[in-house]
This record gives sequence, structure tokens and C-alpha cells, in this order.
Amino acid sequence: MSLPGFLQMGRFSVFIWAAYGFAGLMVFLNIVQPLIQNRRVWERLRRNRDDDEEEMHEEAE
Amino acid sequence: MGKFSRLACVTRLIKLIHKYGAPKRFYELAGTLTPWFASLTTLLFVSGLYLGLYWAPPDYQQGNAYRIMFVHVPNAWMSMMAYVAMALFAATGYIWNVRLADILAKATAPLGASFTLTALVTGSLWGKPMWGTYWVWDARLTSELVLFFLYVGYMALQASIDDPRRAAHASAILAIVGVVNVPIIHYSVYWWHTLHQPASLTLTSQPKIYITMLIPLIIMSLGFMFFYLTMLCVRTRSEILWRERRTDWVRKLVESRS
Repeated sequence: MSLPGFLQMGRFSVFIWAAYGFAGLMVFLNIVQPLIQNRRVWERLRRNRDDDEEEMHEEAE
Repeated sequence: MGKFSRLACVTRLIKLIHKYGAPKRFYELAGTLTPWFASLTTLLFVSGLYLGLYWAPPDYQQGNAYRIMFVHVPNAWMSMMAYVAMALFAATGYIWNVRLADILAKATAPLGASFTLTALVTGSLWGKPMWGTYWVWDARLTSELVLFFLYVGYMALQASIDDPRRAAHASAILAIVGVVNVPIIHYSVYWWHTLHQPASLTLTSQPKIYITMLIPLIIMSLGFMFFYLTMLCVRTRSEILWRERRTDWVRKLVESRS
């Protein structure tokens, strides 16, 4: 990418950058939100497993 | 193709659906496909942005403002495609009680809603310099807004019912009924005289866009399609894990990762 060409992009109107910025934000949120959800699911699954193990120990005692 | 070979194809397709329709099998398949889809999405987005923002020449009438098309049009297409996919998944789950189809429909809704919102916002940001206004109650814009409300309604209905089976059945009806809006969006520019221009790309005629503008548009559209597939896999995998938490394979998986 040449410097004059790159600088030409700086002259794009605010509407173009706003549109690309919004689309980028939505892509970002669409990536981050499921990853957080996935992490929460794993945490809950691990907690459930620990609870089950505790119950089994209590029953054994 | 003979009658028997057609029958063999259908039988094979049904076998494939049954094979990969099992949540465990799909979980593994989606895990394998996700990195490939993600890499392809990144490659397509990077090349599409380079071609769209730098390589493609300015338009003789719209100047550089037309470049909004490279994010607006793919999102508008994906908003409709995702809705049709969601309705098909929902119908499959409703009719044949396929659990995976319910999960896929649920995972598609937030993605489709975000595509629709992006299409609406980028469209109004394109409308301001071109039409002089951010919004008009034009048939295309209004029907696209209705699509957004359908997605939101579907997600609200899913969230309001605790039992996943009942939630899937209730929201499937909304998804199936709402699919009537998709042809309305598509044909709105032909049925009514609207401010929104008719389609520049159709399957049956020559494209009305110059090739240097068409290539980035196609690349960005493929990028958003693979982005949808990537995130669909990610969302479906975590939903499968939670719904199948009482099964042996998930217990073993949790133990192996602890």
C-alpha cells in the first residue's frame, strides 16, 4: 500500500468511518459475547461436577 | 438420474443428517471446522477491506461514500439468509423433534439480529450523504426494521420460557410465520416505488456494478458468510454442552479438562 493511497483513505468522510466502525464493533461483540458465554458454561459445568462429587462423598460418609 | 439413484441420494442424505444430527457428533465436527472457518473469515475480511477501501476506485457519482456498500450489502444479505436458515432449523426442530436444529435456530437469532442492525445503521449512514436523511419510512427500510423486531421477538420468547423444548416450539412458530417478511424485503423495491434503489446484483442478469467494485463486494459477502458459520459453530458448541450436561460424554469431557 503506497503512502499517497493510504493518506487518501484519511480523506474519507466521517460517514464511511462511522459505518465501518459500527460494523467492526458488531463483529467484535459477536466474537466476544459467545466466548464469555462459553467460559461461563465451562465454569458452571465444573462447579456442577464439584457439587456432584461433594454429594457423593457425603452419601458415602 | 434414475429413480433408484435419486432414492439412494435421499437415503444417504438422511443417514448423514442422523449421523451429524447427534449433538455429540456435531460438537466434535463444529470443533474441527471452527478454526478453518475462522481463518477463512480473517483472510476474506482482510483482503475484502484492502480491496474495498483502497483498491476499488471512487464512484463517478457517489465519490467514496459508496464504499459503505462493502459492509452494508453483505450484512443486508446475511440478515435475510440467517432468518431463512433460522426458520428452516426451527421448522426441522418443530416437525421432527431434532434437538440440534433447535439449538442451531437459537444460535442463529443473535447473529441474524446483529447483521440486521448493522445493515440498518450502515444503510442510514449511507443515506445521509446520498439522500440527505438518515431514515425514511420506505418499504425496504421498514420491512428490514420489521425483520430486526422479529429477531428480537424470537430471542425474547426463547428467554421467557425456562423449558428449552417448550421455548423452541413456541419460538419456532414465530420464526416460521415471520419468514413471510423475507420475500417482502427482497421484492419491496419492485412492488413499491421506493427511495431505496433496486438490486444491482441478481442471479438472472448481468451485474450493474463495475468489476473492480464487484470483487470486493463478493469477497466481503463471503467473509460475512464464513463469519456467520464460525460464530454459529462457537455458539452451538456451548449450547450443546449446557443442554447435554447430564450425559456421560459431557461429564467425561469436563473431567478430562479439569
